[in-house]
Amino acid sequence: MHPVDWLVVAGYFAWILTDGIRRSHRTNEVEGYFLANRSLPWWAVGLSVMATQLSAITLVGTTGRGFGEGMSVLQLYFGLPLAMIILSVTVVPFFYRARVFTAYEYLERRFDVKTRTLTSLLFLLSRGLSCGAVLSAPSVILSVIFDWNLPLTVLAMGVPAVGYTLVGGVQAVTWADVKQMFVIVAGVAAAIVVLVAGLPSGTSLGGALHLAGATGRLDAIDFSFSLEKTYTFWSGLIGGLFLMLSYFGCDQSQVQRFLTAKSVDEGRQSLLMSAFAKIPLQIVVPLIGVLMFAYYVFVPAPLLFNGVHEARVRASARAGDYVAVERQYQDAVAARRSAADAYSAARSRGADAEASAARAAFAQGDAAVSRARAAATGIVRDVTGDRAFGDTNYVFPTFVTTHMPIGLVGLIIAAIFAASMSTVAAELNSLATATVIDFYRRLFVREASDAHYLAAAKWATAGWGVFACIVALFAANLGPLIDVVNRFGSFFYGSILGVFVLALGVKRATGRGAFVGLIAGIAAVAYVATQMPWIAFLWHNVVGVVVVVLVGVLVSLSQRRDR
Amino acid sequence: MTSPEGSTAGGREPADRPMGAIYVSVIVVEIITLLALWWFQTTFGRP
Repeated sequence: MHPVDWLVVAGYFAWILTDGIRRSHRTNEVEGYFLANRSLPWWAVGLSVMATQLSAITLVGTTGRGFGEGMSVLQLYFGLPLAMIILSVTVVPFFYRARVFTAYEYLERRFDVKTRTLTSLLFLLSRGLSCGAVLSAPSVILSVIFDWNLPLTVLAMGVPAVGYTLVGGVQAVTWADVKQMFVIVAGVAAAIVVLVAGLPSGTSLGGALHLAGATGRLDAIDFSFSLEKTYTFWSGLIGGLFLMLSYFGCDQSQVQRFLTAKSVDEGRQSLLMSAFAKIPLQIVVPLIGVLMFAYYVFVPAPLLFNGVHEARVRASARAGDYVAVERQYQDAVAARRSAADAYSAARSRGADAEASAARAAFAQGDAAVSRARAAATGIVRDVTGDRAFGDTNYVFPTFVTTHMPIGLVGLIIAAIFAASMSTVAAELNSLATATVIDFYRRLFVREASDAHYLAAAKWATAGWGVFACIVALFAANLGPLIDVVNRFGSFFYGSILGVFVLALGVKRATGRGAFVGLIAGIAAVAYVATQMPWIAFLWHNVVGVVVVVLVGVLVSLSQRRDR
Repeated sequence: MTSPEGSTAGGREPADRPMGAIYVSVIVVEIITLLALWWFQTTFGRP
């Protein structure tokens, strides 16, 4: 990286660390440290909600997906606005007025201590592991692209995030999130501008989008109803609705955001900010990938964007196979480029029949390019043993470092750091809160001073930070582990939502009903995920909620009848 | 819906601001966004 880019990244770190801590007040009280004394404005909380959800995995992975497959991933968010309305009407006023620190604390008041403890434990397990994954994925990518030392990259993201979270609590996290969100949006906007300006002369933005459209990459809405396809309109609207209800309404890393707002109304407004802005923001992220696809139709691109893996394959016994695939790739790229030129020329002349033929040839050429990339990825997986390897994760960072101007490279790298750190900090803060409130204060030391619990919270933040860094380093060496962590988390989302549906919506539900329902829901999702792998993961959330509510109601009713 | 223990509803808390118009506008904005995406998809997805 150029010294100017290093300066931009250093400026980002200095800004986040000093300003985040400077804005923290009354963090010597438990309520100030965990809930900012319920004093934060809706717009700051709203930006924090968005920054917490948008991790570096989203930023780098979704641009890569846009490059490889297109806009279909956007459908994941179609249920989000509806989820935010439902949560604003139900959960926000409920938790806020219950004056709880954690969502799970309420479950003890409504049911019993074992239901509270189990749900909080599931949160700690899944969120603690995911915190490591959030640190690991961008660290691996940046260390490959820049040849950085991996443990140092993990620590460069992890230590500052732990530092300001530990010192300033939720206030430092929120004010850092606000700035990080601006850095992320600036980075995304810069990438779009550079990509559009960088299209070769003679290719307009409309022409580039027609090329992407010819390959189906602009197909953002798929109305087919299929349990097998991961992203369709219906899986996004229904499965995505349940996922978002669970994530924003029952996951402490998000619940803690709106509990810091000044009032119920400000808490609601903070969620509704995402309801308005999330889909437009998520349109832009895969659109960067689509524009990179159009860009690389005209500009030479490597067969594999991960240079380290490419070198390893060339030095392996499969080198001959790789060279053969590379030859096919170069032929396919040349054929695709000729078809693209023919398509653009026919369109500008208004020759419809000719344009249709060239468009079909272009789509055929692109399919051949995709086949070559898939074959190369398969060779990498065989050689490295990393079954989850996806080369598209390296497309955006490679584009940034090879085609973006000095200064903007630093901005995008800062945006990747910001996306990762904002998520990690909010997760660490919520992990510490649940550890102290749901376990330490509830089960071990019930009566102690604020200073005592504050010290415990800081130890918990540091402990979870160390845990996340260790998981990140292990996950980096065992690629598929990230996949396992994500699947592990998805086992619980729908089931935990089911418990809260019982708590808030079913008057007759009992503690035993909720507890048995939760176990049954997790078992049902685990069964579906392992025995029926063809069912897309978004539907797991629906399965979890339905099983928990049904079993919970049946057990509760039978218990009342017994009495 | 069951009421939370420790609730201050009806007590010190100010009355909730009516949010109906904002909820409707969220749904309207989502429908407009989906229509725009559909237009985008069909316009650039054909020769």
